[in-house]
Amino acid sequence: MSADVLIVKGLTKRYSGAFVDAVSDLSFALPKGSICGFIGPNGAGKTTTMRICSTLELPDSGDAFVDGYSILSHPDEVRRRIGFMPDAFPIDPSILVRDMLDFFGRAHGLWGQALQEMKDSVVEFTTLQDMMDKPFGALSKGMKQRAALATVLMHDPQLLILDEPAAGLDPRARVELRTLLRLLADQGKTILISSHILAELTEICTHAVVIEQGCLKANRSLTSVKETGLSEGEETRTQSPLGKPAVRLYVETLQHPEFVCKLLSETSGVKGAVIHEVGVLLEFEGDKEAQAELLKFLVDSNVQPTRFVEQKMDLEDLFLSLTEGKVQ
Amino acid sequence: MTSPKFVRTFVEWVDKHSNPIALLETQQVLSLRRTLIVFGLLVLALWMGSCAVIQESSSGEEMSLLLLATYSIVAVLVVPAQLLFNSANRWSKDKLEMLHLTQLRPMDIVLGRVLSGAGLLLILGAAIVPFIALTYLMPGTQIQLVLLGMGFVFMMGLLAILFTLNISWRLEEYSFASIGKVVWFLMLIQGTFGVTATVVAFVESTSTNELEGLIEGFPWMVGVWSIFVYFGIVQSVLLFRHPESNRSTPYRVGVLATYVLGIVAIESSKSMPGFSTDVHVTMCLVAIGLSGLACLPLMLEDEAIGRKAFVELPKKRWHRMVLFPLLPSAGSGIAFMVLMMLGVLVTVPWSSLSEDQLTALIYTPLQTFAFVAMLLPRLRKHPVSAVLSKRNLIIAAYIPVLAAPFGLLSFLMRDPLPFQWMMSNIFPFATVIDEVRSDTLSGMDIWAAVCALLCLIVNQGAVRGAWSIVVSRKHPDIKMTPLDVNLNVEAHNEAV
Repeated sequence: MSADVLIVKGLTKRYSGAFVDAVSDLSFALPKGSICGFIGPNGAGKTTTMRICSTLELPDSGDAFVDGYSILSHPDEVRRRIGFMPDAFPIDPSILVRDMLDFFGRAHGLWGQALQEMKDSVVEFTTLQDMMDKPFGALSKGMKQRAALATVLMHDPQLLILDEPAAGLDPRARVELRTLLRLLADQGKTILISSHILAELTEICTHAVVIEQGCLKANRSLTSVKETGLSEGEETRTQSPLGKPAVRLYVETLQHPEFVCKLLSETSGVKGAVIHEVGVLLEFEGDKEAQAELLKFLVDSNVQPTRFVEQKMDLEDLFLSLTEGKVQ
Repeated sequence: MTSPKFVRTFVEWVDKHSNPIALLETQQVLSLRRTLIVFGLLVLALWMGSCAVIQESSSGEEMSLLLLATYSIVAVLVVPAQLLFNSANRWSKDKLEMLHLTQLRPMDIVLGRVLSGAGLLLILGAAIVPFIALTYLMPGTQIQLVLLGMGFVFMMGLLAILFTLNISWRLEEYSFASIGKVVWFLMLIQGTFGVTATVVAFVESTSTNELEGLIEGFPWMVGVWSIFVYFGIVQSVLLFRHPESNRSTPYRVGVLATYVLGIVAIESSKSMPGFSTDVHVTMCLVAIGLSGLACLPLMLEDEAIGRKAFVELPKKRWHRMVLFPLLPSAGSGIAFMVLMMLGVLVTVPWSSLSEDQLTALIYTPLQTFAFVAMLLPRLRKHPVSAVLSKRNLIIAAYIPVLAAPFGLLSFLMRDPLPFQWMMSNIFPFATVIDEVRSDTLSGMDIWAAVCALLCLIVNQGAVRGAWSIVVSRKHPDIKMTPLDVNLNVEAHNEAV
């Protein structure tokens, strides 16, 4: 089975009567367990792409694969593996949360003990215990999003496609949602999430796909290091050429940055180092153990680190540098 | 006494196989105060009506009429209207989309709605049971007739619910909710009175010795009802599926079923009480002719089918070959019609139906098919038929437009000859009526067979094109990507 849960290959879609493509030759891939921020200006084609990946729309050309299954030739298999949460979750406001979960569980083929267990598990995860007997329409916006998330989790999908889930949420609800998404990623679920609140995405995303006017602008891992902005259409570099994971580290020390930069540049595993603000920014190949070794090496070299952190790309900078705000 | 294990097994079976939509809808409907009020009003109306009947005549026949009329109003008016007003918004387009992402198939969704309606019909029907028992004790009651009538009303109620379902989704789709609801409500009222009148007429015109005849005809009525239900379900399912999905196949199956039922009806309806030969002939003519007219939309289909329909084609090539006449596209539609014609040409002469009068009726749709198949495919490529609504207009105006020049010519020449010629040589209905009167066929079968052959020759390009797309899967716009389970990030990124 493929290592990527979602593979999008050359998707193109033009709505009837439109003069331009809503999505144009879009390709990207998401590895298992990743949280991918899907960003772009309004009208960039994010929702169209998400709907195509959810089998709700058909592309004019191209294909998308979920866990190796094509949305064109195996839509039923795809539906078993995805949970799609649209911007406004369309459900009758008079339905009780309990009935809603029960309904979607049954609609996904669960019944009896399995249904009850799944419902209990999802309710506990989303902490909806006190809301079960309330109508969906009576919930707060944050609670509605939780209930909607609980609904799409009822069949334990591998891939979650969330369209603007944080829209309209207060800061507390956003933090709670973020926590839930992190937990889901820790469980091995892959998440494709679109949002305009880029700071929110930076906090939780491991990958980012930037599109504008239906075209791919960037697709990259947020833990990879790249000093310059990506050129148009440039693709993901989630791994170094050697195949080891590459991370961006930021080091501040009591010593002069130039000395530290030179020292680190000559160290094994460091692919590049530059002075950044009052510290050193470096691209490093290696896991957590290797990072600990690097820190030990610095200390052994009589360098006194005051800060040693993995730095993620700032999505806002990336977004603004790549997009021009054009809409379809 | 039922063993606990059996009960547990049964409950588990029900739990496993229950339709989620039906469960949810029934829960919702039962929780409505309105349902309780309707139930109460129904019991009150029946009680008051019963008192009046008992005081006036104590006639079982009148009591039966009261029960049937009351139940028909509930079944055909109240329940469908309640479902329409309560759930038009519940399953709007967006909400249905969420259902598409579940394992529920469109048919499950439609059946769920109908089942919940049927549940409501049964619950309200339970209010009538004590009054049926009372009727049974009264003199002059034909309890079988009452039960038969109740069954008939129940079936009509299901049909009304099905159409309500259809309308409620249309309301969302076309955003003329308020007007549509009023129009549909008026139609339901009209339908209720129609059904009530029919039931009353049956009860009044049927004495004890005619009951057997009515029961004999009941399967025929069930057949017609089934065809209506079939088209209702198909229409409902197609309404909320992707617009490019395969619309033709279910319609073609329905046309085929209607035609077969028409032939069966010719035989079985002869035994129906109260049917004269003239009525019989007219009904058969209309029933079978309608199946010919139902083929008209098939003739205006696109040659290149939609993406969704293409994706949904059977996976195995030999399945696609065998089912070719039933699969979408204009070319396969021609094959479908030609095969239907050939089937009739072969079966009719060998069947017991080949009396002159009935053979003429059989060949009528044959002529219709041939005539339609000859001309309408040419309209497909005309710009005016590019939009679906315009195609529907073409279909509706097809026969009047063809007749108009001959009518005009007759008017200008002040001579009925052109119009008579048209009636005799172009319109099969007109021809068949003449033939029925003269009891001769005048080579109608040969005329139809020649038309079929010509149709195939004229449209051979379309048939070949359809074969290439539908069977060989060579769609001009779509390239099917083979299932690739070995893709990974690196390989994918290199490819990009």
